[in-house]
Amino acid sequence: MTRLRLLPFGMLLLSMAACHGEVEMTPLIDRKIYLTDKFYDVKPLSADKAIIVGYGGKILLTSDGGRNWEVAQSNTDSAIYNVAMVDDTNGWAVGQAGLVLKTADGGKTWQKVDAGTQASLFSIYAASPQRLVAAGERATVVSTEDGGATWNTVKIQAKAKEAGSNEAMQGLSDTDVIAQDPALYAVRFVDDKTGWIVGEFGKILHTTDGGKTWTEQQNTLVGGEIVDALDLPTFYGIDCVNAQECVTVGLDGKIAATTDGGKTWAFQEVEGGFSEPLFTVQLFPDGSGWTAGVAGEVMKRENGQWKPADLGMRVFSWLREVGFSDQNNGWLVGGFGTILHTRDGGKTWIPAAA
Amino acid sequence: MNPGTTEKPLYWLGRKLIEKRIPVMIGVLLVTAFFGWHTYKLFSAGFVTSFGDLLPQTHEFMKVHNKYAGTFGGANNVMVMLEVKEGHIFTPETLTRVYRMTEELDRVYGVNHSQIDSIGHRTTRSLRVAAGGTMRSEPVMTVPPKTEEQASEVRHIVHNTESIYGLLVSLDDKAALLKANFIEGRLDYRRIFNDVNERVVAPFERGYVGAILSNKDENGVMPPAIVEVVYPGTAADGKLKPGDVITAVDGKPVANRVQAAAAIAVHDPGQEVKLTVKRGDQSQDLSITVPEPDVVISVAGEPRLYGWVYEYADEAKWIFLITTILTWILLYLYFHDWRGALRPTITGVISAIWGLGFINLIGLPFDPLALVIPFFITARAVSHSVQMHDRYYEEFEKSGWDKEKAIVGAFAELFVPTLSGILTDAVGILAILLVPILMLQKLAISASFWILAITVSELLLNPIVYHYLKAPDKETVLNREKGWFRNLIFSVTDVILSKTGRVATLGAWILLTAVSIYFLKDLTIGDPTAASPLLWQDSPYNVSHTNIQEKFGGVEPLIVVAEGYDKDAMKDPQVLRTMEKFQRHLERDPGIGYSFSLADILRAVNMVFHELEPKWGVIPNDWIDVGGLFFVFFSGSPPSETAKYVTPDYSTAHVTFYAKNHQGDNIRRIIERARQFIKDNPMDKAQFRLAGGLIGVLAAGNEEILKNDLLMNFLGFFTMYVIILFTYRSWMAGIYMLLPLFLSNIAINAYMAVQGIGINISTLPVVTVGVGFGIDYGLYIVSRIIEEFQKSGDMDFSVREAVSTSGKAVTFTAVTMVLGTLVWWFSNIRFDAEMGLLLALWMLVSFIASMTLMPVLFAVFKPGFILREAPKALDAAAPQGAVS
Repeated sequence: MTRLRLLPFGMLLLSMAACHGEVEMTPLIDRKIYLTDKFYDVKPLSADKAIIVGYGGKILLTSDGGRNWEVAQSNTDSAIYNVAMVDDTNGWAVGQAGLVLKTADGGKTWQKVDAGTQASLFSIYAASPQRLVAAGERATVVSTEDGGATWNTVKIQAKAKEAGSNEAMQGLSDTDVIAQDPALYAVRFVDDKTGWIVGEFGKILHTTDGGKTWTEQQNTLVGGEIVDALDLPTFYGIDCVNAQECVTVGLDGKIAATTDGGKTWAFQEVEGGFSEPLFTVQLFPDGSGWTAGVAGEVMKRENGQWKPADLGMRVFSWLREVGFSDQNNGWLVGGFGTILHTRDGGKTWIPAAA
Repeated sequence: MNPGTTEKPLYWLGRKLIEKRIPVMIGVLLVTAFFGWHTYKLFSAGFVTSFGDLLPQTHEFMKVHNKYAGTFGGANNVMVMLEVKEGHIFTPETLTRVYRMTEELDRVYGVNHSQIDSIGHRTTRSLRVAAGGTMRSEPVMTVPPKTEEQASEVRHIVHNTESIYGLLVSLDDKAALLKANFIEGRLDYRRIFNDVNERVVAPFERGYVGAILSNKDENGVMPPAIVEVVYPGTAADGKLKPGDVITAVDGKPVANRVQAAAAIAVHDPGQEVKLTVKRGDQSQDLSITVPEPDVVISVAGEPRLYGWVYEYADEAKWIFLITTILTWILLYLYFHDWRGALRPTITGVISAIWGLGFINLIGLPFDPLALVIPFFITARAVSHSVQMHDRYYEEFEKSGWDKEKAIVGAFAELFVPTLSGILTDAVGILAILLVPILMLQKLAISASFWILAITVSELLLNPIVYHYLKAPDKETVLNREKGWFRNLIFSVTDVILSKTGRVATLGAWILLTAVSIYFLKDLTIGDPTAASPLLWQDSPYNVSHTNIQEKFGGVEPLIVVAEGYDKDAMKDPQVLRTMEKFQRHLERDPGIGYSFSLADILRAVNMVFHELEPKWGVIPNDWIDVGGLFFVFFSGSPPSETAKYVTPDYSTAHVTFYAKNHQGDNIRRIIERARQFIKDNPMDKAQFRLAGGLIGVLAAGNEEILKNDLLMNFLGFFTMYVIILFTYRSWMAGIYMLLPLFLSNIAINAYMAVQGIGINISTLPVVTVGVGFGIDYGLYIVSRIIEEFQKSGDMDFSVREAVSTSGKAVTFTAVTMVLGTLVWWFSNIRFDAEMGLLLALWMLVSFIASMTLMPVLFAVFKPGFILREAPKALDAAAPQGAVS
C-alpha cells in the first residue's frame, strides 16, 4: 500500500523533468530571396520566364513573372556571374574561379563542366549552339566550337600583341604592363562570326572570324580629354542592335557607341548623366534601350538619347543587369536581393516577392 | 509524539525566554545594530551591479568571452540610432550631428574607445582611391561635411561600402547607427544612462534648435556653450550667430552645451525659450520657438536597459509603502487590534535589517530585479507572525485569560511548524548554490540567511514582546470567533470535507494537473515582439529597441570567435567562406537580425578595389589575394583600430550575430543551431568557438541553470521531505504534504510556459523562493490536525478543526500576501510586475491546495503517522492534562 502510494508521486516527478527538456527548434526562415543575396545576371526566356543567377551559387527560376520562385540546383556555392541560353532548355553559366555550368532542363539543374581555367569568367555568350565564348579576369577567353565538348583557353592580350598590327601597341609604358592582362567583362556576338568583348582599360575587342583573332577598336575613343588609351574607362557591358550599331557602358557613367561596326567609336553626351559606373546595357531592335549601374542608377535610351529613368521607388543598391524579353517585359537585378520587374516598358517596377 | 517529553521542553523554553528577557534583548539589539549599520551602508551605496558576478565563470563560453571581450566586443553594447523624419541623413546638418554624437558617445564614462562603430568614427573606414591612383582606407568622415557636395560624397562612400551600408546606415538612408562597447570593469549603468541622455541624445534631439555648439573639451572640462554653426531654415537661423556664447536659458545660467541643451529640452515643441547670449561684449536675450525635433534618437542595449531599470527601481519604495499600509489595514481588520499589526511589523523589520545587513556583509550588490525577493521574505515573516498572533489569542481565551500561559502555549505549540517552515525555506533556497554564478550564489545565501533571521523575532523575541504588550481585550478576542470570515471558512470546509466535496476536490485537482501537464508539454515562445521582457512593451526602452530593430534587424550581439591554429589563418579562403556560410545559415533563424564578419569587409574591399564592379565583391580563391586586399585596407590603421575585426597576426577573427532579443528560448535555439553548424562545417586552419557578447554570456548562464534545474528542483523537494521527516518522524508525512505543493508547482510551471516566462538568472531565485511556499501552510495545518487528533481521536473532526483554525490564519495570510504582491503589478519594471503576479498566483494555488487537497487527502487516506497519535485519553485522563 505504501509503495503504491509512492507511484503517482514518482510519475509527477518525471513529468516535472519533462518541462524543461528539449529546445524547440522553430524552423529556419525559408525564403527564396534574402536581403544578403547579390544577383549578377538575369536572362528572360519569355515575358514571364526568367533565370536569375548570383552570389553563392544561387540560381532562381520564375515562370510567372516573379510571383513564384524556384531555387535551382546549382551544385556550387561559388558566385555565378552570367548565363547564356542556347534555347529554352539548354544553356550555360559561368562564374568565379573558372566555374562553368551546363543545364539541359531549362535551368532546373546544373552540372559542372571543366573548361580548363581557374580564372573567374564574368561573361559568356552563345554565338551559335556550337560556339560559346566566355571572357574573364586576366584577359582570359574560353571558347568551345563543339557545343561544350571541348574548351579552349587563350589569353587574348598575347594574341593581340602577336598580331602587332595595332597602333595601340606603340609606346608601352610601365603601367601598360598591368594593362596587358585586363579583366574582360562582357562578350556579345551579333552572329556566328561577328562579336565584341569589352573590359578593363577601355578594351574593345572585335572579331569577325568567330573568335579566332581579335582586334582592338578602343583607340578611336582617344582624343579630347582622353590623352592616351590608358585613360579610357573600363567597360562593363556591351549590346548591339546589329553588326553595325553597338553601345558599351562603363566607369564614370561613360557610354560609347558605334554605328559602323566598330570602325569608329565615340562617347555619347548624356544629359543629366551619372558619374558612377554603369554595368550593363540592353538595346532593342529600334535602337532604344536601357542601362544600369551603381547606386540604383538606371537610364533609358529613346530616339538615340540617354535619359535618367525614374523607377518610381528609391533603389540605392547597385544594379548589375537589365534584361528585357521584349520592350514591355523586363527585369533589373542587383545587390541586397534586388529583383525588379516591369510589364509596362519600365514605367512601373515591382520588387519580386521573397 | 509524546506530549510529556516534547512539549514540556518547549514550554520550559518559552518561560525561560521571558525570564531571561533582558540579556536576550540586549543580545538581539547588539546584533541588530551591527546588521543595521551594514544595512545603512548598503543603501548609501545605491544600486551597483557587478557584471562579472553575473557570469558563470566555469562555463566554457566564458573562456572565450574573457579572452576576446576586450578586442572583439563584450556583452555591454549600447546602440544609438538617429533617424530623420523627412528626407535622408546625407545633409551637412544631419551628418554633422551624427559626427558630433559619435564624438560625445566616445566620451561617455567607461566606453571602449576602439570599439565604437559609426560613420562618424575614425575606426569605421572605407577603401578609396587616393590621389595618384593608389588605394587607401580612410575614415568615412574625417571632419563633418560643410557643403551639400561633401555630404553627397559621404553618401557615395556609404552606398559603395557594403560593410557599412545596411549595417551602420539603414538601406533607406533614413537612419544612422552608432554602436559602442563598454568596458566590463567600468560599467556604471546609471552614469552611462545619464551621460548618454545628456550628451548624445538631448543636444541633438529635443535640445536642438539648429545650432551646433562647440564640443572641444579640455581634460574632460566642457567649454562654454559657444555656437559653432547655425543651419539655415532652422529655429535658430537668423537668431543665433557663430561665435555667440549661450550664457543662460530662461534666465538660468548654463555653463556648457550639455546644460544648455538640457534646459532647452525641457520645453515642449512650439513653446518659446529665452536664450541669453553673449555676442562680442554685448549680452542680449533671444526668444526661439522650440521646434518639433526633425530626428528621433533611439538608444538600446543592455547597459541602457539596466539604466532604465535603475531609473524605475526608485518606485520600489512606493510599492513597499503601499503594500505595508495595505497589510496593516488588513491585519487590523482581521485582529481588530493594533497589536495584530505591530507584531508582524517587528518580525518583518528585524529580519529585514539582518538580511540586508548580511547582503552588504557578503558584498552582494542591490539588484533592482531581485527586489521582489526581499519583499517576499518579509511577507513570509508576516505570515509566520500572523499564525503566532492568532494562536496567542486562541490560547488566551482557552487558558481562561491567563496572559503568561497563553504566550507560552502559543509559543510551544507553534514552535515546531514555525521552525520547520523556516528551515525548509532557508535550506531549500540553498539549492541555487548548484549554479556556478556568483551573484546567484550570493543571493541564495543571503536570502537563506534572511529567512533564518525570521526565527530571531518569532522564536526568540516573540514571548518577550508579548510579555511587554498589554494583553488584548477579551472582547477583541471573542469577536474574532464570530466574524463572517470565520463562518465562511467553516462552511467552505464543510463543503470540501463532505462526501461529494471530497470527490469533487480530488477530481478538480486531477483535472487541473492533467491540464497543466498538457500545457507544460506545449511550451511556446511568448511575446516574440517584446524587445526586453524586463520592461513593458510600450516602455521608452522597448520602443527604442524596436525602432532600431526595425531599421537594422537586431540589437544584442552574439560573438563567435574563429580561432586560427596559426598566423594568417584568417586569410584562408575556406575559413572566410565558412564564416560567410555561417552568417547566412544563422541569419535564417527567426531570432537573428543580421550579422557581421571579416568576410563582409573583405568582399566590400575587393569590390571597391575593382572599381565597384559587384562581380568582384567575392572572397578571392587564393590566400595571397586575400592578404593583398587586407593589406590595402588595414595598412595605415593602428592595430588598436583594426583589432576589433581581426588580431594583428591574422590568426583570429570573429563573426558577430545580432539577435532580436534575449529570450531564453531564442538563445537556446540559436546556440543549438550554431553548435550544429560548427560541427557540420569543420575548417582546416581554424575553429569556431562559442561565444561572447550578451547572447553568449546569457547562454552560458542559462545553460548552467538548465543543467542544474532538475537537480535543484529535486534538492528543493528533498530538503523539504527530510525536514518533514524529522518533524513528524514519518516517511509518509512528506508525501502527503508535498503532493499538494507539487501539483501547485506543476500548475505554476504550466502558467509560466503559457506566459512564455523562462527560467533564467533573473527568474530563478524568485521561482525557487516560490517553490517552498505552500509548505508553510501545510505545516501549520498538519501540526494542528495532529494536535487535534491527539485530543479527539476523530480524524474528520481534527481535519475540520485544523482547517478552520490554522486554516483561517493561513487563508488570511494568503489573501494578505496575494493582495500585497499584486501591488507590484503597477511597477514600471515589467519583470517585477510579472514576478509579483507569478508569486501571487503561486501563493494562491499553494494555499488552495493546502486548504482543499491536503485536508481531503488526510480525511480520505487517514495517514498512519496521524493515526498513531491516537489519544491516550481513550484510556487515560483528559488530554489537556498533560499540558497544564
